[in-house]
Amino acid sequence: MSQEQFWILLTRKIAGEASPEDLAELEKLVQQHPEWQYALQNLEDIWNSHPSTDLSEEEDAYLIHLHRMQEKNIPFGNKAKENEAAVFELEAPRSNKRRRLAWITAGIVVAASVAAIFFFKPVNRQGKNEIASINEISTRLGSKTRIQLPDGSIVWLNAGSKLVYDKNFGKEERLVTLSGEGFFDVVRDPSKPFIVHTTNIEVRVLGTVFNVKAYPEDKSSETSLIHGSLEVSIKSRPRDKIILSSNEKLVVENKISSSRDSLSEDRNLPLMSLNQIKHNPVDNSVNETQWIDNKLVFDNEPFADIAVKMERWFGVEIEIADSSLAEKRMTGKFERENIEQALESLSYASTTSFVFERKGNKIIIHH
Amino acid sequence: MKDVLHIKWLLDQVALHQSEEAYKKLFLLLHKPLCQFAFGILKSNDHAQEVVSDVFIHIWEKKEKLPSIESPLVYLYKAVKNRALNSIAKERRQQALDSSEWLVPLPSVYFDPEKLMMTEELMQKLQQAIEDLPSRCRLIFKLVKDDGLKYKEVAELLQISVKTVEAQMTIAMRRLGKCMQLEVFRQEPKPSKK
Repeated sequence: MSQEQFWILLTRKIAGEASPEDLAELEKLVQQHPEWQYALQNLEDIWNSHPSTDLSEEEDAYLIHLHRMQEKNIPFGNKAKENEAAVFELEAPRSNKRRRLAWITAGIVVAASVAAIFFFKPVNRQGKNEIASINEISTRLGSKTRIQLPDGSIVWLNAGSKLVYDKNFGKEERLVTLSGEGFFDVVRDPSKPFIVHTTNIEVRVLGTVFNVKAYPEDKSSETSLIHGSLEVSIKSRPRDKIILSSNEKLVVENKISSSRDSLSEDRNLPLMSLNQIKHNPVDNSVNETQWIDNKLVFDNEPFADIAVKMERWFGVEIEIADSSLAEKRMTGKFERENIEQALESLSYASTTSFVFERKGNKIIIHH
Repeated sequence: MKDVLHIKWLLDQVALHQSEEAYKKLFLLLHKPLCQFAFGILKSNDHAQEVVSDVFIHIWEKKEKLPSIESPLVYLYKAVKNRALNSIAKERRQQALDSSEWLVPLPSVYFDPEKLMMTEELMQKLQQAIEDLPSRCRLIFKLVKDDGLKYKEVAELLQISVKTVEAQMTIAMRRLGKCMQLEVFRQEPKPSKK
């Protein structure tokens, strides 16, 4: 009986169909029968390895398919709607076929951090009857979601995020308020600007693709633009409007640091810096938007910051019991790994190895 | 393997921006598994390719409706199934409706034995076990493992119960697992019989 149950649970686990209760039960069974561990491990390995994909056959099939479309007089490849399509040509001068589409079409990446969860000026002014018409979408830690706005624009919300818009959305302008991180694919409409509010910045576009990161607890705001143009205004510096160009990233400090030189006349203004976005040479991907493709990426970041990202990603609580470890910089990329596997490989790859123990939903890391 | 988020993303690009680049990527990503699935029903490569091509033409023509599709994989597999069944002459259709007769090719070498630290012998055993799976079991195994469908989605596609899908998956896994257990025993100096 228990062996029968073992195979059902093992299959569920490997196929990604297992509930938390299933996983707990399976773990118990394996503890009772350590000899089953070997099969479990190997079957997981087999499941996760795939035949190498040779695309040349598929490319041929695609040509045949296009030919059939032509024969049936189906419009394809016409220049009528090339506004957006032109993006591909601009973005892909070396026309690398393996380039990920997401990065090519990703117009703008905006990342902003806010100090409070909500910033809702327009609604507050308009009285109570307006408040009832608010739409609010939120994601739990460890999960993501995709939303279609009334104008057809698409928003991906990353873990632990919230997006709010009211019934006036799309009347004169398209205004949303964000806490957390979102990747926006905005339908072009020059007569109705699309505006993303966070507590300390406002991003204004007409129609393109961009990412807004606005976690209240983060140290800084990031605004990265992959293609197109966009305008950022920082609420504490209302006179300044910052226009970003392709491949630029704007980082704005979230809280004004008190330790700054008090002689400086700008001491009440947040620090800003403008950086270039790095494209990975292999697939042209951009770290800032990898989360949409289910990838968790760190590039030479302090362990403390990594822990915050992992908490959101995996929906756990992480405590680094050692301050020297918290400052340690690490690099990594995770896709299918669970939290334990991810931490193990970080420890393995890092110059300072560490150990971790899990207590329920909390993970404690120490030397 | 098939990242559903990525597929949805590509469909959105096709729907909202008429992106031909995204359309091509979708085709390259899904053409082969869909053809293999269609082949299971039609038993003809050319015929299968034609059906899949027709489904992709349909997608292009109805692209504005794509964002409303809840589960794109089920949608595509169902479209292929329906078109394949419809394209079969009436007299043969009754027989073709029985999904236990749908034979899909399963690539026999999935795995890199060196990377997985397996012996040649174990690998051959696993391949044999995969080849020996009954056709419906193999179809379900492929749809879940290679094509990335959930149990529920396979059940919907093949019009069988989730329990049946689960049972077939468990059979497949257990058969593969049995190969390993024998291997474990083999490595011991004497077969462990207590």
